[in-house]
Amino acid sequence: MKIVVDWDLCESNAVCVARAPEVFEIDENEQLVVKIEEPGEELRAKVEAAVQGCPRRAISLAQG
Amino acid sequence: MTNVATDRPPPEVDVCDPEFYRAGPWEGYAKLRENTPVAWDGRHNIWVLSKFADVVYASTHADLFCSSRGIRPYQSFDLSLIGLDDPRHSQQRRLINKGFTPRMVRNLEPRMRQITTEVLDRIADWGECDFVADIAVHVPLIVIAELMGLPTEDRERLWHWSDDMMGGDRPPVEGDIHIAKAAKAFGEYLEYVSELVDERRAAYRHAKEIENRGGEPPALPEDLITALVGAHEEGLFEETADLARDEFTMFLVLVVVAGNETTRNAMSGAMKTFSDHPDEWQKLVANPELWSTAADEIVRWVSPVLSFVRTATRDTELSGQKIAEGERVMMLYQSANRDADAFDAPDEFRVDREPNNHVGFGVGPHFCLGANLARLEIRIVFEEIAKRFPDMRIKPGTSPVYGHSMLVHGIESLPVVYTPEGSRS
Repeated sequence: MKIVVDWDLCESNAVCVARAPEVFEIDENEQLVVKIEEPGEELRAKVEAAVQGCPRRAISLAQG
Repeated sequence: MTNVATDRPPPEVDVCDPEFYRAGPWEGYAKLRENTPVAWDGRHNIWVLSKFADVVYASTHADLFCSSRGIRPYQSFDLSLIGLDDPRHSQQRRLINKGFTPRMVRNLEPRMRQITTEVLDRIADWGECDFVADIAVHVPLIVIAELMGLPTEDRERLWHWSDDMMGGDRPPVEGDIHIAKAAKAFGEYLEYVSELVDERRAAYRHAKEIENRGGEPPALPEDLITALVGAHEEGLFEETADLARDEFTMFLVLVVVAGNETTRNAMSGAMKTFSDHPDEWQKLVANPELWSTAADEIVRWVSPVLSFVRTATRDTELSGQKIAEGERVMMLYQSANRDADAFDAPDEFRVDREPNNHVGFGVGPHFCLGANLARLEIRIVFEEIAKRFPDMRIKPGTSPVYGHSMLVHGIESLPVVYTPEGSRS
C-alpha cells in the first residue's frame, strides 16, 4: 500500500501521528511528514485507523 | 406516475421545529435512524440524515453535496467560510488556521489555566452558582476575545450578542421575538467591533504606506482581526451592502460565535452529563490521564452543534435513496453520534471511549477549525474543577434551561452546588 496525502486538506491535526506513529510525524514547522510512504502489511491496521481518523479526510491509500 | 409517498419516506418528527430540541430529541433521533434514515421532510423541502454513515458521506463528498447554496434550514444570513466551497473556503480558512494547530493551541495552555483559575477563584466560596453564567461563559469568551484582539472586560456583552444571534436561527415567523433580538444583537455587535476594525485598518494602512516608501514598517498586532483586516484590504472578500451576506462582516461574526457558543455549550452539557453519570466523573477525578479520550467523548455525547445543511450539486444517491440535483440534506450530528452502526454501545457515556471517530466537530473540508482549542478548554476547565470542587453537581430540584437556537443545543442556565473551598481545612 502507498500513502497519499492531500496537502491542500491536511491541517496537521496529528490524529494520524497518534494512530500510526511509525508512519506519520509532525515536524518542527508543524508540517506533516510521511516517514514511510509505502509501509509494510504489518502496519496496515494502524494506517487504516489513521486514514479513518483524519478529521479532514486528507489521507488515502493507493495500491503499491 | 410513481407513488411519491413511498419513494420519499416522511420523518416521524419535525427536526425543523426548535421545540424538538428543547424537549429532548434523543427518542426522536432513534425513531429516525430506525425507520427513516434518509427521510424527506416535504414541509420544509429537505432531506433529513440521521445515520452516521450518511452524515459522513455527505460531509466528505463536497463535490456532490456543496455548502455554498445554504447551510441552514432557514437561511437568513451567510455564515462566512462555513457556507463556502473550495477553493474560496480554503483560501479564507488559511487566513486563520495556522493559529489553531495543535502546537499553537498547546502554547495557549498556561494562559487558559490562569483564566480558568481566576474564574473559579471568584465562585470558590459560594457553595452554589450558575455553571453557565459563572463558569462556562467566561473561559471560551476570554480566550477568543484575546485571540481576536477584543477587550475581555466586555465579554458579558459579547455573550449576550452571540446568544441572541444564535437564537435567531429559527423558522422566519413575522414578529418572532427571537428573530428581532438576533437582528438587534447583530447591529450592536457590528457597531462594537467596528471600532477595533477601524483601528487595525489604520495601523495596516500606515504600515503599508511606510513599506511602499521603502521603509521598515512597524510590527502589526498578531490577532485575528488584524489578519482579517489585511485580507479585506487586499480585496480577498466579496463585498455586498447586505451586511448579513458580506464576507468580511460575517467572518467577524463567525469567529466570535464559533469561538464561544460551541465550547460553552459543550462544557455546560458536560456538567449535566457528569451529574447524570457520577461514576464517569469519579473515574476522571481519580485518573486525570483519561482526559486524553474524555474531551472527545464529551463532544460526541453533547454534540452542541445540532445540524448543518448541504445541497446536492447533481442527481445522486444516499444509502439507496435517490436525491435530486438542487435538493437539500440536513445532517443531524447528535443522531449520527448515537448510531449503533458506528459506535459500540452508543448510549453509554464512557470517558475512556477509544476509538471515537465522532462527528461532533464535523468531518471533511469543513471540520471544526477550533477543535484543538475546544478540546483543551474543556479539559482544563474540568481538570481544575476536579481538583478544587470534585463534588460539583446539578443543584437538586433544578434542571437545565435550554435556549432557542436550532443551530446550537444551548443551555442558558444550570444551577450547581459544591463544597466551598473556604469550608475545607
